[in-house]
Amino acid sequence: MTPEAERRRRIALARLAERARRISLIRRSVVAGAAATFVLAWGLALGNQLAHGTKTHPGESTTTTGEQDTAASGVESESSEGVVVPVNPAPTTVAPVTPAPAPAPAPAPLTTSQS
Amino acid sequence: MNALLQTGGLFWVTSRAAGTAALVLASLAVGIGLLSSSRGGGGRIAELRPLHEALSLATLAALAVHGLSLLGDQYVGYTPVEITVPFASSYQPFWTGLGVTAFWGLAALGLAYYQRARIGPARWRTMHRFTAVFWLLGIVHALGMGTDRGAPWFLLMVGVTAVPALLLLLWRILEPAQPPPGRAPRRRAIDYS
Repeated sequence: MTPEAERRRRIALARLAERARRISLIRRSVVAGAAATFVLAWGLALGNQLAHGTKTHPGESTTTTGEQDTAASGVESESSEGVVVPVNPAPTTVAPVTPAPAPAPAPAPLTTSQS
Repeated sequence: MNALLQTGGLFWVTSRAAGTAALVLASLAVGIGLLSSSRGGGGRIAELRPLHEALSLATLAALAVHGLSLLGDQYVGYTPVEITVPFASSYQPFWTGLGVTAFWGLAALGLAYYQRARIGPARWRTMHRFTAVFWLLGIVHALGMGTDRGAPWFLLMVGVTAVPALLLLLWRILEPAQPPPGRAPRRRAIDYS
C-alpha cells in the first residue's frame, strides 16, 4: 500500500469513527429526551389525577363523593378512599316548586338577656 | 395516592404518559423524516436520518409501554386481545381500534426499514409514505379518547411537535413531484445518428 493510499485509508477510518460517534450521541440524546418527555408527561398526568381527585375516564366527567350533588347524572365517581362508586342518577323531571309562604314575623322577645 | 395504587391507577397514569410521549416522539420522527427527504434538508441528511431512526424506535417503545401498562389497570380492564386486535375492545371500540391500527401500522412500516433490501428500495419508499397516515390515526385516537386531550399541557406538547410536522406534510403533498434527494435526475441518451 502506497503512503498516499494509507493516508486516505486513515482519513476514511477517522471519518467513519466520527460518524459513529455522532450517531451514538444522537441516539443517547433521543433516549434521554424520550425519557424526559415520559417523566414530564407522567408527572403532569399524575398531578392532573390528584388535583381532580378522579379516575379520569375519556369522554366522561367524574367527581368525588363530596361533589356528588352537582354531578351529572349517571356518571361514576371515586370516593376519598379511591373506591369507584356510581353516582345515583339525578331525576330527569323536576317537580314544580310552589313558593313557600313568607314566615310570620317572630314575636318580640320578652327579655333582652342572651344566654 | 394509596387509592391510585389500589385500583391500578398508576398504570393508567403510566399509559397516558407513554401515549403522550409516543405522540410527541412520532410527530418529531415524522417531521424530521420529511425534512431529511426534502430539498431543504438535503445538506443535513447524514445527520437527520439517524435522528429519524432513533425517534421512530423510541416511538415504538413508548407505544409498547402505552399498551402494556393498560393491562395493569383495573378500571377499564383491557385484555391482551383488546389492546392488540383492532376494534375488539369493549370499551370505546372505535377510538381504541384506531389506536391499535395506528400502532400496528407504525410498527410494520417502521420496522420494514430493516428489511429494505428484501422489499426493494423503491417499493419500501412507497410503503414508508403511508407512515404519515398511521401517525394521523394516532393523533385522531388521542384527540378522540385521550384522557388528557383537553389538558393545556397535553395540547401544548402535542401541538408544538405535531403542527410543524403537519405543515411539512402538507408542503410535501402540495409541492411538485421531484426525484429522491441525493440522486441526479436520469438523462435519456440522445441518439444523434
